[in-house]
Amino acid sequence: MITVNNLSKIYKMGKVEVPALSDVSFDIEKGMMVGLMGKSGSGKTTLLRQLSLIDRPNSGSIIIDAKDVIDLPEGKRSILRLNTLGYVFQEYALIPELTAIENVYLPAMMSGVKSKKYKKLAKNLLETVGLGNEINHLPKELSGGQQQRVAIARAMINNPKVIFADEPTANLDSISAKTVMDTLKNLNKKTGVTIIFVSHDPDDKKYATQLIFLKDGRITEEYV
Amino acid sequence: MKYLRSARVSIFLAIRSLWRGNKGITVLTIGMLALIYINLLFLPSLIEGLSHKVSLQLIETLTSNVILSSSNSGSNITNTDELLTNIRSNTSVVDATPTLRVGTQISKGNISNVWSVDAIEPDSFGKVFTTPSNIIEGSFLDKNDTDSIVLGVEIAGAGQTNMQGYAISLKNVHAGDTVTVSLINGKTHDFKVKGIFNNNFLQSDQKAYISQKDANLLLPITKNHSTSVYVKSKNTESNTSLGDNLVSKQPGIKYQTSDDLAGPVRDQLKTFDLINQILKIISLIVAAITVFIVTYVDLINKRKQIGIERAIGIQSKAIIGNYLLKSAFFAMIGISIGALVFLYVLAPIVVQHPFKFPYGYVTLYINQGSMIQNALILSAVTLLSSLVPAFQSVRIKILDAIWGL
Repeated sequence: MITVNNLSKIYKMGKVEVPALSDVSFDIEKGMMVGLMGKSGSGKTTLLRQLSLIDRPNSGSIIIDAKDVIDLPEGKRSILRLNTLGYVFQEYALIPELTAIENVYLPAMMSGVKSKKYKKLAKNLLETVGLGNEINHLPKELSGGQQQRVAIARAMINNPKVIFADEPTANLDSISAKTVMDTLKNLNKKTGVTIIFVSHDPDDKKYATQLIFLKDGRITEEYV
Repeated sequence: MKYLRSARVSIFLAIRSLWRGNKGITVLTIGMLALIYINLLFLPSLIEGLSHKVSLQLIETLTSNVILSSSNSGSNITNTDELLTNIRSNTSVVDATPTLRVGTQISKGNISNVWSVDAIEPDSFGKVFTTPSNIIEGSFLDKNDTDSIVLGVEIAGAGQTNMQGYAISLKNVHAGDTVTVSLINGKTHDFKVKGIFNNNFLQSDQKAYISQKDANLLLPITKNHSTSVYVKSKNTESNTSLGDNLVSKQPGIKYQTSDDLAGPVRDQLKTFDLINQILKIISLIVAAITVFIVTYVDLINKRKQIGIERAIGIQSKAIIGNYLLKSAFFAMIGISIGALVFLYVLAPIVVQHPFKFPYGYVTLYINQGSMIQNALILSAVTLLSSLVPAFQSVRIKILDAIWGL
């Protein structure tokens, strides 16, 4: 499903070059729930951003469904992000002027799904993540955990092959965090979608079917 | 199809953002655009009003639309009655009035100066010129008046010491006083000042008039003579075309238009036009910079959101379209409000309280073509001002946008 070969990423801080990823290689099979674990600054979020096509690495390759996506032009990467990949940000990242259901169906609208269909899909997804009664709430009317679940529903709307979640529970209390991780796990089990999440919480290991540990931009351990 | 999808998302995001976004910024942006539009209209309209006033004063008090005179330099028209009948039969003409130069110098006591004194037909004169309604002392001439003269305020002085030409005027002549006129036959004659007029127009306020009846008595040889015949047009055709028509059947007669006789006034009008053009350009530059700053700041604050939209796969076209649509909405509402305030608040206030210029009271001259032109330019500037930062925001790296770099 995803093959990563010799991936490296260097950030430039003025004149100083800071290596964030060095020669990272691994494989992820379809339907896995992968945890990218490591301490702060280990490179896990950087790795997620390269995989989700939000950022471009300096070298190496990322193959998704047998297609090398590294050198794709921005337009094609954007289409992949829209239809094949889903992304859940650490800070929920909902559009404040859209209701929960509108936030969820926005990517479907962009994909060209018909109005009736995407509204129904969005409603079903919000019910799936336990927000059936809050579909018309604006983000500011929702708690952090609820917003994150809206973000998960949004990431699911175009039936992606992979969902990337960047520390989805970092800003949540433990109960909300558990609900969010359970939601992701259920989606993974129910739909077979591959989920790659970043976490520095060792407790989240239990949700993963594959674990990749990073330190100083290198993989130190990997379990399947 | 791709464009349709992007357009659908653009419209959706724009409507939601306008409906549920920060109302303060919306009101501020619309208010600012309304003010910019009013600013774009106000000064040029005032200058155009001034320019229009000067042109109107020129035509209504000095030159009329078309002036007929003998084609032999220094000669009079000798068949004035026949000429008037022909002119008045033209359907483009309101009326025509003859004048005859009868005097060259006016004196009062020790003070004397060279001014032209014309004999006029008071009835037709009042139909061609507005001078009779600009009397500030006494009254205007009547066709049966004899030994009476009306003086422009620049000749009489009338004790108005702050007047532009007071120093060379008769200084303190008022209605009821007697002045002496040197006639073209070399004789002098005393006239009682029947009235003093003030057209607020230097050139026409340096005129003095007596009745044609008086001229016939004093200079019988000039009966049916005129130096010029002034023609007021209905403006259904150009002055040139009217002039051509009027002289075509009149041998020995030439015509000039008000433009031909504008002289120094034409230079003033050209100066006003130039100032107007400069002001328009400056106003537009100020408008462009202001709109750009406001939309730029707004968009910079939305960079994170733009980054997120791009990260979830929203196409750049849709994002740019969203901001362009919002800008178009702001421009449309702002310009509409500005136009309404200008037309229904400012213009009526200025009509009630006009600006006093040396040429008289000036109101705003509303030029619909100019309003539409300015509206289109301001709309284009507004769209461009949002297009540039929106375009920049979708060009930078997604992470930089999200991090607000």
